Amino acid sequence: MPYYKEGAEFEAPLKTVKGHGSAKSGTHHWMHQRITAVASLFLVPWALWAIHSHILGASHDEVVAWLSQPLNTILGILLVITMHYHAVLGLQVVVEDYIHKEWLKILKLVGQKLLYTASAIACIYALIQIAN
Amino acid sequence: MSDQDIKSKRPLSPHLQVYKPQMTSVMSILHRATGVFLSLFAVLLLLGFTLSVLMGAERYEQFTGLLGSFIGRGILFALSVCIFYHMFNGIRHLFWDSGKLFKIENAQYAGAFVLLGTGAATLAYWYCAYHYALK
Repeated sequence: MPYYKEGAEFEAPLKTVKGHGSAKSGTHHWMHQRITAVASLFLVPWALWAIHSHILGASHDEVVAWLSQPLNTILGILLVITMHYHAVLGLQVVVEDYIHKEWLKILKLVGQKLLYTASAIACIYALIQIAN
Repeated sequence: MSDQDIKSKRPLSPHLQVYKPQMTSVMSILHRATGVFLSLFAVLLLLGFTLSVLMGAERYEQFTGLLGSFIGRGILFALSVCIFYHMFNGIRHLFWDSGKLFKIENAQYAGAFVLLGTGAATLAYWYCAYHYALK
């Protein structure tokens, strides 16, 4: 008996496609993880350099002055967005792999997204206010 | 082929209790561990830094005082190790994503490169911090 009957077998029954399967948005998630990874390859070394040359040992006034330069504000905001987004995508995979209780999984996934969104907005707000 | 046949032919995932640790598998789990560590502490550092700068000189000095304490420096050191490891090993992952380094020995050479790079970069970063930036 052939594994696939001709015709109807390619239509999956509704019960098997319900829920958050990989068919829903797997590639999208994978691609965004890579895009943020590549962006981090530029932004994180910039931040590491900035810590050494403009933040360590600098006074509050000096840090404010440096952060207020437009390029630094913009790169800072990009760093905040990239890091938060990359972290949320990564934590999502970890939770999906290791947490098997459905309600706890959903709670953690939604909770993470809310917390990281709040944190990113707080950082961006602060960076813009500092530049003012 | 029946369902039972198909199931019995599928590979099993490794049972970790009896699975010999290999460089590739240990480095893989470390990539996750450092990622989770970074998603907590690097994000907290960003949040603490931006908000304390915004709140003024006094708050900022409290924040940097906290980071300069013994525990603060310990966390920053761990953070720097995690950043360099996750960054270098992330590049190794990007090579895999583009179909390179799949031969076992190449994966291991790249792994050794990541470990050496992490050590060297961490030491260089802290050497520069103490000998140039904090002068």
